[in-house]
Amino acid sequence: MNSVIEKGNLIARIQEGKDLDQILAYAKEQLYRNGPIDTVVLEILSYLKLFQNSYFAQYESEIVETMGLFFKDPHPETLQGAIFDMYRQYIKATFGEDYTPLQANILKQIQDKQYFSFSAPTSTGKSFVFRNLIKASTKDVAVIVPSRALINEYYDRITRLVDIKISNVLTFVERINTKHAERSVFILTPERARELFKNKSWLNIELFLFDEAQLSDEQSVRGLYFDSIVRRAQKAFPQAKFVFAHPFISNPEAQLKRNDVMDTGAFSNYHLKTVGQVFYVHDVTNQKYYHFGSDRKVLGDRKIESKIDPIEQAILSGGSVLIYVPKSHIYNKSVFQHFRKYINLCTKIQNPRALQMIEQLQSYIGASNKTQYFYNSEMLDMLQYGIVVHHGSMPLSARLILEHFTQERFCRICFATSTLEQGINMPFDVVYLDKFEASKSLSVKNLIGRAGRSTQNNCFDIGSVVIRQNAMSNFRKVLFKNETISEVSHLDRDDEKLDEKYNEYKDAIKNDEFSDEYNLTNKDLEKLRADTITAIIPTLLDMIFVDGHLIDPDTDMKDIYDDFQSLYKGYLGRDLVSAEKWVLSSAIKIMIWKVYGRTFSSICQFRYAYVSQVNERRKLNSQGRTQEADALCARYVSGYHDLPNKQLKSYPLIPPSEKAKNVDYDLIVYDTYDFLDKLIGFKLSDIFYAIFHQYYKNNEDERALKIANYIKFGTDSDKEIWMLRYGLSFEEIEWASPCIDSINEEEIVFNDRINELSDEQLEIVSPFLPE
Amino acid sequence: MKILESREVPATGTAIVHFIRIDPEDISATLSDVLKALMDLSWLKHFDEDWLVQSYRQRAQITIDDIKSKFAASDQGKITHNAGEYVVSELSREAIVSELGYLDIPLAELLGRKVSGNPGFDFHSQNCSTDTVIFGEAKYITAQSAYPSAIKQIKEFIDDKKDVADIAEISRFCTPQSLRRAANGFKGFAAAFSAKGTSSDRLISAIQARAEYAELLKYEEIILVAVNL
Repeated sequence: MNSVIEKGNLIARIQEGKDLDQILAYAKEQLYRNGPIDTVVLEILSYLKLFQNSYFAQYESEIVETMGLFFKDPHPETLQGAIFDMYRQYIKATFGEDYTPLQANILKQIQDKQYFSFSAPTSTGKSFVFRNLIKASTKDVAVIVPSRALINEYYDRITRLVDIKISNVLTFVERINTKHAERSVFILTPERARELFKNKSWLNIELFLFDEAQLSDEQSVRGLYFDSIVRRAQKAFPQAKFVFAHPFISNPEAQLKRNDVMDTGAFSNYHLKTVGQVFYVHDVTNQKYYHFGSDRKVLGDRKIESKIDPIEQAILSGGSVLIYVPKSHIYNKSVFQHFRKYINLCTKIQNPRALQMIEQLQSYIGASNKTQYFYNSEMLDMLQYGIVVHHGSMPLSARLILEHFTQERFCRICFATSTLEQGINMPFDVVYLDKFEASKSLSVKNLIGRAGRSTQNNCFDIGSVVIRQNAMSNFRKVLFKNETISEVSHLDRDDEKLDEKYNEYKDAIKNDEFSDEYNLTNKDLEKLRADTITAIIPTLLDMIFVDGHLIDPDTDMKDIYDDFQSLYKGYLGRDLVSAEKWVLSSAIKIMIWKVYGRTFSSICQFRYAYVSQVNERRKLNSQGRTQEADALCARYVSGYHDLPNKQLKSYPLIPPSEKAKNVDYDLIVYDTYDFLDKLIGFKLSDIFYAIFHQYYKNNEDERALKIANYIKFGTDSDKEIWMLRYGLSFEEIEWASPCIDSINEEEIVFNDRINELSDEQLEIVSPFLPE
Repeated sequence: MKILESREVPATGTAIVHFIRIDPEDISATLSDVLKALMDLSWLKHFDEDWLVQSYRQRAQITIDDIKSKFAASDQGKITHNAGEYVVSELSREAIVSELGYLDIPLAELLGRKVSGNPGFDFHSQNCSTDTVIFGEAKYITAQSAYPSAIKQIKEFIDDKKDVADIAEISRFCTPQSLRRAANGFKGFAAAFSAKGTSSDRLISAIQARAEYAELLKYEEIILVAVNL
């Protein structure tokens, strides 16, 4: 080791301005010889920039060039730089873009090999490469991502990138617009990707991109799906290329091994980074911040008090801070107390574009800002100051708005849970880990990777990571820990001991006993055709329909709810415990409201009005009995829980002692979304659809088909179902429908009323409009 | 490269002093050697050697021509200065090897520290008949002869014991005897510098008039290499 490094204590020495030439020389040489791979070297450079800015500035462009960050347009001033510049020019001549060496290498490997699996740190620009690959391809492409949040992000970017007149960009496997579109780009979760196989006759897929492919290692049905999709795609589309991307995985070759394609595949484990990072520890007792190095020997044994508060500095300079917290602390609002000092630094947003996004969100969740005690959303109140909350129970559409809000740099502080780690492209200047889960090292690395935005400027970008005192030693361990994934596919593993349902799914997938049409195992389907279930259906249909139409929504539906409960019991093959009944009852009500076409906002408002006694309070208020109104307590409503769960205990979403006026509207929004997303979307709708659809097939009762369609699509109208397939939402169908004369697989034929649409509305249907 | 002159210069101290004057002629080959040696040291070499070689094939001539035209135009930019020092250093090293028959330590081995920008001698050689290690410093200045800065720099490096620090790095190439001698203070220095139209005699007498030069004469050997760049 270099003697200047052996002396150690680099943070202190750089701060004091000692031996700068030698320290910089060491870092530059490491960078030149090994590339930007070493956390410690990048840390040294970051401290040079932080403490000795004008000194560092003389070498900054050279450092950017040596890191290969060509998109920053560095100008070489040395012969060493000229080497990198030649490489840059070669990349540009080959791909037409200022790709980094890493990005170019990914493309090269994909061109050369049928299978390519790689691992790269977050923020290395792989999404940019993927998007350009999708843009350049001429045939169908399937992008497989782990979450619907990521689907949204890809969708958003790809629609802006490709010629949407000739490329369908779809988040489900649908055959649409065939008269005009030349190909389709599918962005799918593994669950949705199953639909590819029954449509393979008309598909011409040239590329499968598996992003965040570490999902394959998840010990769950989803991990299993992932593996099965890869296997089936290999068989169904033997000509296609397969690309697997992971963050921070040390054995990307695992994907090739688990699918037996080591011979025809290549793999790379890239360590190249694009930003430098510095680390702070926050002592909450004295509210001071301290610098500490990832490597004690080199950077120093002792933490050094920081002259600045990194969070305060980021907020005041228009930057952004991610604070990683447990979801419960967002729900009970303790984070807002905890970080009050920083919240108070945020000023009210005036930017019209930001205000427009806030309004959009308000209308989506159905909140009101007129009075504190009726439909008021604290989440929106905070957003007006650039404070975002982001977690898995935040509705997807809301999350998308919040992500745009953040990407457009209106966010100052984002309180987020682990949902953010799923690769969503939201970098921050500072990442504060209020919760540190050493056991989830890959997640922690992903979060740390969010610190530091790689800008387009010709400068060395730095991000800051802040942890709590008690996490220091674990933090160092996690930072340098190897992350491996299994080299054996779930499908080939005999030693997995998960729950019964998992094993049932696994056997079904392995033995081709899984129904893609119904998204259930054949065994389940058989159960749902059993007499105990089908016997309930005729009377249930008689109750739901009057003269072929859905009954009036104001009718008492208790018996209908009970029958749906009985159907679910039949599926489980046992009675429900009372807490399960409460949860299921709420879920069924919400599902039926959806059948009646209620929007998300109206369901939230409806549930809020019930729990917080809106009508009663308004009535009392109007009679001047304000005190009585204020004294009313919240009504009992069951919150979301996963089903089935025999151990579930009943307790209300809002404690009965809570004053009705203080019921948190946001909590209702999150809970309603959990029901819709996790229980109805992921479980109940498949089960009920299969029950009614199979019944229709066997008994030709049109009413069963109707209710099946209502449950699956939210409508029974052919036209509306086609519009949904074309990617329009129910809200959009409302205004688009009158403008459409006909719609089918081939195309949408619009009428003259299209001219009455607003520019925003026109943009939504623009892919399908004639030239 | 053409050797224009090579002669011994009378000196008062213990040192034997050589003067060599070079016409670089076409510096393309030298620049190409330097670029290749730098390439071999860069991370791109092990990241994707194939592409690095291809990028060189496609772009090196353009880069070299560009630098040559900058020399011709007496450009004062940083890259001209940086390339100038590499060229002066490498040509001088080659001249010492070919003209004086000294030890040929490959260029690539010498560039390791150069890429870091860490201050220290630019090149090394060894007088094989006397077992004397030569520590070389190269300077390029666009507008005038660069000998003052080369001589001054050598003096400073000696004061900072940079030569002593270098011994470990060159130990693989030099004879044990020469290393021992160097450690005991028996060593030589080469001052390589860009020179313009000034005649060799005037250059030599100007160098001889410098106090730093006089101090160098107590060592074993001094080599002055003037490069017409």
